[in-house]
Amino acid sequence: MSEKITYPLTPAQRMHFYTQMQCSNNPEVLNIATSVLLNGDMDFETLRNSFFMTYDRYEAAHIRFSKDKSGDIFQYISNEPMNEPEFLDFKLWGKTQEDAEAELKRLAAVPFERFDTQMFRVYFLKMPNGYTGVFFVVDHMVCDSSSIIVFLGDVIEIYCNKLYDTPFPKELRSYTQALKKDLKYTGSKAEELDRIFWEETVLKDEPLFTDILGPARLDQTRKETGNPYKRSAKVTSPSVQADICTFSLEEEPSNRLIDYCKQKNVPMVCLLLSGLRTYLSKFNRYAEDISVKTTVSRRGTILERKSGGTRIHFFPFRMQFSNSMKYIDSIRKIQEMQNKIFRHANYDPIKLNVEIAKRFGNQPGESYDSVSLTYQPMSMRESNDMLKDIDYEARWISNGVAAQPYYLTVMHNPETHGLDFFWEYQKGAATPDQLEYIYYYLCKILFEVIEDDERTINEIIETV
Amino acid sequence: MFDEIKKILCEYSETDPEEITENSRFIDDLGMNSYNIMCAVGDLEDTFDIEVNESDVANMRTVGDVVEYIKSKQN
Repeated sequence: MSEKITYPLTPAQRMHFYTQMQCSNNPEVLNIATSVLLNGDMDFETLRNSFFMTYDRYEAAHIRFSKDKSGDIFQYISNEPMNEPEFLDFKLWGKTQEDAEAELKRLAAVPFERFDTQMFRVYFLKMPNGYTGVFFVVDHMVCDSSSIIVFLGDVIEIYCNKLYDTPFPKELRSYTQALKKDLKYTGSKAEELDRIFWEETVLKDEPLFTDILGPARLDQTRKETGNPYKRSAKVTSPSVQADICTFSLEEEPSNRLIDYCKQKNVPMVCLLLSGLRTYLSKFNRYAEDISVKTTVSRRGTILERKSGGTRIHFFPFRMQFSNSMKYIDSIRKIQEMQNKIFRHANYDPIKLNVEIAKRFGNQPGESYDSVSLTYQPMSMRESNDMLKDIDYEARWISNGVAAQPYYLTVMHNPETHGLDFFWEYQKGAATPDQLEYIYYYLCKILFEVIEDDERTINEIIETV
Repeated sequence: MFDEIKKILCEYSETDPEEITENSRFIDDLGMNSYNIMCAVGDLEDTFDIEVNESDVANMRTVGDVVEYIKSKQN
């Protein structure tokens, strides 16, 4: 029998592994769970066959992890068949919708055995409200949200092909091909150029911590360390218990924001980043050096988009400029910075974080950013022509824990056609009321901006 | 030059290569986003041995804009 081919972990995978080590009491921190439910009955036998077919064509679904004799973790592609999906018939069991949702939340928090095992679980559901479909739980070291959308999208397209004779989905791409390309980066000339970029931006001088709830966290760290000039703050918390909440902006105002971005030729994420920066400045003593965490999906080529795996890199997005700047110019500056980050996003985020801590003498858990912002323009419905006319709902389900205080994801809602502001937050860090307040404030800023972006940031701050 | 640009864009866009023209818009016609536009810019730099300034990218909306930009850089 031939020996299996093994590969080291990528920086994106190591980053997740490191997160799990930091939250060793909550290994479920790496679980991502999603449900896709159709209004009505599904043919579960066809659905099952569709899953098995996708599994056969999706190399990334075969990723397994293992440990060598020295304790180093590696990955390989397994030939093992997919585990059978588990059937949960909440309707037959006479459960309420609340009971069913509580059970899904519980299942979302069951951690995976890390080594030599399938890193995702599939459940078929019959919900009490008449919806039927799939509940999918996966480990973040194997999948990120883009690869989940590709995985489940492929299953649904195959399902539709079998039942309704719609076109069979296009081929998926090789995970190992993308992986090899990723691993070649270490030690390359490109890596050195990226290192120089980060040296000249985040590392050139010390950033300043700002928090969405104001300067209290920084003040507390200054008090605890006896250093009144300290610029970083402790963001880790003994409790990583988390929850999610969503605030939905209606279609008409969402379209006004979208139209503004089209008209000015700026990406929506840059408008959102500028709004968040303005908010943080206003509530942190008008600071002008604001950092948030940004996520880069690193899925540019078709190979990268269709090969699955986990590719997201988190980076500090430093927005350091005067509040006397004209607002539109600040958005353009953010756009330019974002483009630069995109070009240097293959750099290992762990290496960068280690260097930041070393350079500025930070203790473990200290950071300059409290909130992470992701803009997700594409839902599963929008990425899949066949789903456009089907009455279904797809949603993310909390695993109950989070490594960072606040994650904000702004996404298009295919049902309402508006924008959803989806918060995942540590329960000890904020309350839903506080997050709602921030959401309203952020919207207030954004609508002031699109009304007249020739004003300065200071003028916008004074108006809201 | 156009064919070389098209070859690069086909790595990023699922649009049928026959449908890519100088009038094709990156976002609306080729379905690209800011990230893959910036990655494609990196490939263009390598292929044509030029340096592209990030602030210039916002003004490149069509394939034709890129053709003109590269020509101006090469002159």
